[in-house]
Amino acid sequence: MSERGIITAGTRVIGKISATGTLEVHGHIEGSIDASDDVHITSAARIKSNVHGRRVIVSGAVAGDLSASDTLVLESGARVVGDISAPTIGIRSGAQLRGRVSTGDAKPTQGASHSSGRHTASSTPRSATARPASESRANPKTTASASVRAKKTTKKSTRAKKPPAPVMPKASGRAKKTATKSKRTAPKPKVVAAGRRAKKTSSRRNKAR
Amino acid sequence: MAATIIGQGITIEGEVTSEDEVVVGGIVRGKLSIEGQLTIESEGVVEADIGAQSVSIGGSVTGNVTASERVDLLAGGRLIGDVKAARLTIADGASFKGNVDMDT
Repeated sequence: MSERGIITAGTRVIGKISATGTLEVHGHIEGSIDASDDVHITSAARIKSNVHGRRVIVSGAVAGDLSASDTLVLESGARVVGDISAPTIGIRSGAQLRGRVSTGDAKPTQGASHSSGRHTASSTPRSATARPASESRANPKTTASASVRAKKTTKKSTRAKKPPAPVMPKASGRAKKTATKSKRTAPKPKVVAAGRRAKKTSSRRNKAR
Repeated sequence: MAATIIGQGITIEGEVTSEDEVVVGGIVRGKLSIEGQLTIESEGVVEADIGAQSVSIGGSVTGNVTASERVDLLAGGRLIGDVKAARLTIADGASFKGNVDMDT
């Protein structure tokens, strides 16, 4: 009885929670949850943290990685933005998930700290590929936090790759041409060209380093 | 029933804010801001500044306690820190080190 924790809907915790007993969350948590027993995240809960437990059952909203040493279940109504990993994973109809799923014994699930380390290593390709397709569908709250996270992790790659990507191929071609032609005529593309050159040279510099 | 329970095996490092009743049987380090009743059970350890409507201390508290209504230091309870509350009771067998301000 006493070995359990209940965080009610009116309660907000900002920080680290570690539990040896079962944990039932109805409220807000920002930080991390690390339990050696069961963790129930109910439909009222709003969680911005990594969660680890023996069995993790989610019905609410979570922005963060979830891992379980035994079973992880996303119930109907669950909204998760983050990677999930457990030996056994269940995702019920009606649950929303955006992130990687790894199941079976291959992935070690030793704790929230471990999974966060793995996340930073793996998140760059995921956010680059999975983000644009699913972004419009997900709810705005979680999307905002996820995109912020993605921005952080993909800063380097966006600098190197992104600027040419959103520009249509035709337009970029035109821009290049006009840039070279208009060196004497129009002042506007000059700026673009200068910017591009600066980027190119900076990348060259980086390569040289 | 609608109480946040931080049980014996649970440790929270950080800030806890609540509109509900909170019962601490575990460990809380950081800050506790509660609009309802706060109960620290005999096993509970709180190393935090506390703000609550009323506080009942049966465990160990290190930090300043501010209550809008009352503070009850129960037998076996330990408090190191200042108390600011209109009403304060200290039971026989409790230990307390700190200042008291009841002028509110």
